[in-house]
Amino acid sequence: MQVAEGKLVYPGDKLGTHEEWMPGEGTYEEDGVIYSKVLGKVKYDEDKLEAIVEAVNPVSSVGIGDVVYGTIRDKRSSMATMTINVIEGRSRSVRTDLDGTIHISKMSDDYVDSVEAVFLKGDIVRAKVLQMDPSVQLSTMGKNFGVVRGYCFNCRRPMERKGNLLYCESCDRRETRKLSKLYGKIKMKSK
Amino acid sequence: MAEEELKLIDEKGIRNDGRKFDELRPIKIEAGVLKRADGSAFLEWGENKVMAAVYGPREMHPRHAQDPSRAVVQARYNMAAFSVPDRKRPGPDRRSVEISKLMSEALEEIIFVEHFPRASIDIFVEVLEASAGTRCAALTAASVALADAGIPMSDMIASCAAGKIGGKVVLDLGKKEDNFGQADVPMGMVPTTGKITLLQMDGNLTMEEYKQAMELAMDACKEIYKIQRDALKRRYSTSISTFEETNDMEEE
Repeated sequence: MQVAEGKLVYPGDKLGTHEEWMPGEGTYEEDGVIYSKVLGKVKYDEDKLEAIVEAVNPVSSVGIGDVVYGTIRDKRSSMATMTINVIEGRSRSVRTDLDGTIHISKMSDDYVDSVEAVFLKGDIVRAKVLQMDPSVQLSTMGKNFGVVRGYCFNCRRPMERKGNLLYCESCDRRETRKLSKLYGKIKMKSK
Repeated sequence: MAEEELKLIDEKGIRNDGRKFDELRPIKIEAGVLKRADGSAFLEWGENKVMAAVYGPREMHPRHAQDPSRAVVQARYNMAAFSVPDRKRPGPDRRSVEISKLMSEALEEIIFVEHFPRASIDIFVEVLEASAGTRCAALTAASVALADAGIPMSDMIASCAAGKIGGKVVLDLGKKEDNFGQADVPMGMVPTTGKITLLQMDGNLTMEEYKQAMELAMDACKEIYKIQRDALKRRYSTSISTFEETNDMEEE
């Protein structure tokens, strides 16, 4: 073990050789030598025999179990697609336009007859990541998940929550959604 | 170039500003100075003052410029209107476009661009005070800012210039030396591997002089590399326990 565990290493620092460890997260290997590729702290995984560098300021990447926010892009008969914009608890923006799918069975705790009654294109949704590979799968089951901001089908203005429905004052319309308990409580910054 | 009336280097090898031929101007780097950037650095190099900010990897705009196989590194070098004694006309000009391109290409060499397809990594360098050698200062600061931003990269780049004044090869030209000297060779490299990522020359050098200049600059880059690492160390050894993620939920 050449570098002590927990030590701060810089990009390009030698961590050991390929015979000692496998190159794990935050490292790269060149000519049999393992180097750090981020600024971070060294860790060794004795089970996987991996040398890892935990970045002190990691680049955002979405993982299973993350709570994410995004916009509904499209609806199909049994699913909706959503572009993930923000990861909860992270101030860094998501690396690129990442699309996830919400299957009709994962939309609500109750039986969903049609996607129309749950999401509308443009809605801002809080969801949980279920799967990353081979496709990004999301879920909005649970009280805190679902639409956090919905727009009126008619005039596209943000709607108010009235009980279990959304209400648009200017059109006097009521619409149904799978609402999150946090509806209207999320602060949004425009870029 | 003007006639050499001004004596840039004396018989003892002491330069105009009191430095020896192989002496750098004092360099000071601070990492993580900007709150809203993903990574940042402030660098003072003699009279030069340079601020670098890194954003990303993030969605690339314009979208037609996205590369499906890798991230695009977009560096922007900009001189503030007040950075020079005479007001500089703000905005990109031939020189700053050149330096921007140069920096992007130099930094692409060390960043693992293939990890972030379709994304862009944006680097903004503002020159607040300029006094010769700003492209080296900019590249040095950008490299620290990238490391601060946690961007995966193979190593860091240090950059320094060498040149020729009064017939002698010297390190790190000052403003007068740059204006009235005979040659200037800015160079950027990865000090641990010796890989050169930036190399330009203004003026003329013989092969022998060129080798001398390169040697001087390479040794200086190793010094600068230590200062860069020290800046990052200071940033993270003090704040690592107090480092917290901002928890406000945000939305585009």
